[in-house]
Amino acid sequence: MYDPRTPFEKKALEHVNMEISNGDFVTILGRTGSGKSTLLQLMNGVLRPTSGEVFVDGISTSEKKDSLFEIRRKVGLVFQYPEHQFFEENVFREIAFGPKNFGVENDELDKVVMEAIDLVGLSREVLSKSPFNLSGGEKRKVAIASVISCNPEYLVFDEPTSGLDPLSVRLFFDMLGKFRRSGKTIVIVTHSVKEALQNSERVIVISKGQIVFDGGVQEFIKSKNLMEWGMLPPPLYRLAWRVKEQVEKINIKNDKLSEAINRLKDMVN
Amino acid sequence: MIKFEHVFFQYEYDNLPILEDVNIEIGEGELIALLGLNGSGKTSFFKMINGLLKPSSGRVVVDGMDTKEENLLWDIRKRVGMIFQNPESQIVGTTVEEDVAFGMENIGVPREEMLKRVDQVLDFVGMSDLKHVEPHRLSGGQKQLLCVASTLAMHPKYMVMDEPTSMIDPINRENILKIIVDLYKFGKTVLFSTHILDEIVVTPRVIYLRNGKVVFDGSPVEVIDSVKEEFGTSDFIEFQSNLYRYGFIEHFMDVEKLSERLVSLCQSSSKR
Ligand SMILES: Nc1ncnc2c1ncn2[C@@H]1O[C@H](COP(=O)(O)OP(=O)(O)OP(=O)(O)O)[C@@H](O)[C@H]1O
Ligand SMILES: Nc1ncnc2c1ncn2[C@@H]1O[C@H](COP(=O)(O)OP(=O)(O)O)[C@@H](O)[C@H]1O
Ligand SMILES: [Mg+2]
Ligand SMILES: [Mg+2]
Repeated sequence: MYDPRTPFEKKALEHVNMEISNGDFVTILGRTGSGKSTLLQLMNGVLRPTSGEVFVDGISTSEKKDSLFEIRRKVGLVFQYPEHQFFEENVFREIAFGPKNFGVENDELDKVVMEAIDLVGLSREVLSKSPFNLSGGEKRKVAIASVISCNPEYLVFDEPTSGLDPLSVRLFFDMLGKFRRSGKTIVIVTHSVKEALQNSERVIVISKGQIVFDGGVQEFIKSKNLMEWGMLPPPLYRLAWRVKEQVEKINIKNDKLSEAINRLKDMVN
Repeated sequence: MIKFEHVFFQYEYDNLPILEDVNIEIGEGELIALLGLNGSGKTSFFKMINGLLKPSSGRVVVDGMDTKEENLLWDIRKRVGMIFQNPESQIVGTTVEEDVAFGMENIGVPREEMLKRVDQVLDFVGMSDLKHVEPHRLSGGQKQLLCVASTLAMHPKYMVMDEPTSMIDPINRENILKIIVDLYKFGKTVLFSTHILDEIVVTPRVIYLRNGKVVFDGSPVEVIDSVKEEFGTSDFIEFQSNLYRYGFIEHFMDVEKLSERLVSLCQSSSKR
């Protein structure tokens, strides 16, 4: 709840019960305003629950200050708006800030920063620039780099691919694949159903502050409630559904055309 | 008409060229998608149109007015509605309603008309319920919708939208795309940038920027064919590119039109 016991009281989430196991790759979907960002900020203690508790490896985020430090170290959160996490004068210092705080120094620090910018696909030219004087996509990449440079166990990303070009999106998921194989736990919010289908096994849907779906991607894409949740299947899927029934009984004589139609049919079978 | 004539641009204190010799004409009533990798210069390009940024050399001319002439800027900005990549930077009102009214007050829309338009545009973007909410309480996508509403309310001739759908759920994204297409049908000139390739099926013209240079300018089919290696593509676009190659379609289409086309192609193929 935001601003509880004031006239502006706003319930953003309620009755949320969920568990994320180590090594999971979870995609969170939901309409704008459904509570996704709130949920993510609860995960590393940026926000605390008004009632109920959030545990990270058994430690409650509502406990004392020193355990919060430990939690933030374990759970790296990339905010939806990159600007919200920037405060340094240049990109290098921005990305170096986290690891430095956790005791990384000198050459090792340089190495960590360079690795991070390579992973997200930023050029070295941006290192000396102010993080505020970058393009939208470059800002997003700096925000991602400054969290992965801390090497957290749990990586939590709020709409990391919004504003990334298609090439960078691919790079990003390649990177997540590597993290995954090294045993990290990944939680990501996206508006792209396609990304969810291609990259994760488990999907959680939030609607009006509640979890309305928690299950596998196949089950998710077949759900009748997609529209109600603000989701649409990717366009090629929608095309396939529309075309399939209408051409079922037609004997298509044109090879190329029937090839295309079969491709669509395969998609929804 | 919007015209870029040999436009070069670099940010102050920076020697990197951001736009290089851009020459473009945008006619009235066009719908254009601007594509390019992160950092290629799209936002900078857009900011030149309403004079937020000025060419280091060359000229940007909007309806005959040079953006370098300070006394014309007011008129230029009245004609060019801009929606920025980061909606937060654009929200000024203390409530949703006030934010929509703010721009109109500035350009002197009479009160009664103003109230009418507030309701109209909020309804248009599906935010009527949130009229009295403080903008900082809105979620990211809601903020973006608010910016669309506030800009539309000023009835600009040109709508320039920098990634208007980037942080919005699929259903709202379809709404925004529909708004874009509707505006175009009503005769407005609309430019938008996007990284979601599937969206370019609604536009007749795509401009592609590479390192600050316009390297392709044409129909989506042609441009995508040229840039898919360096930029990427999508399954939906690839599927349509193939249909185009075999002569089944003349241009990209949205799901609805394409399904109609495919069904009728199948029907006529079986009859033959
Ligand atoms: N305020 C600024 N000061 C200095 N350089 C800037 C500033 N804003 C952007 N740049 C640089 O200008 C170049 C073009 O940026 P621009 O924002 O126009 O790109 P873009 O195509 O919109 O990218 P994106 O897809 O990431 O939004 C980038 O290299 C960026 O780092
Ligand atoms: N700082 C805040 N104060 C008050 N209400 C907020 C705040 N941030 C978000 N909200 C409200 O909480 C709800 C959920 O928001 P959010 O978690 O940002 O949604 P999402 O990320 O799914 O778009 C929305 O109704 C939003 O208006
Ligand atoms: Mg959010
Ligand atoms: Mg941009």
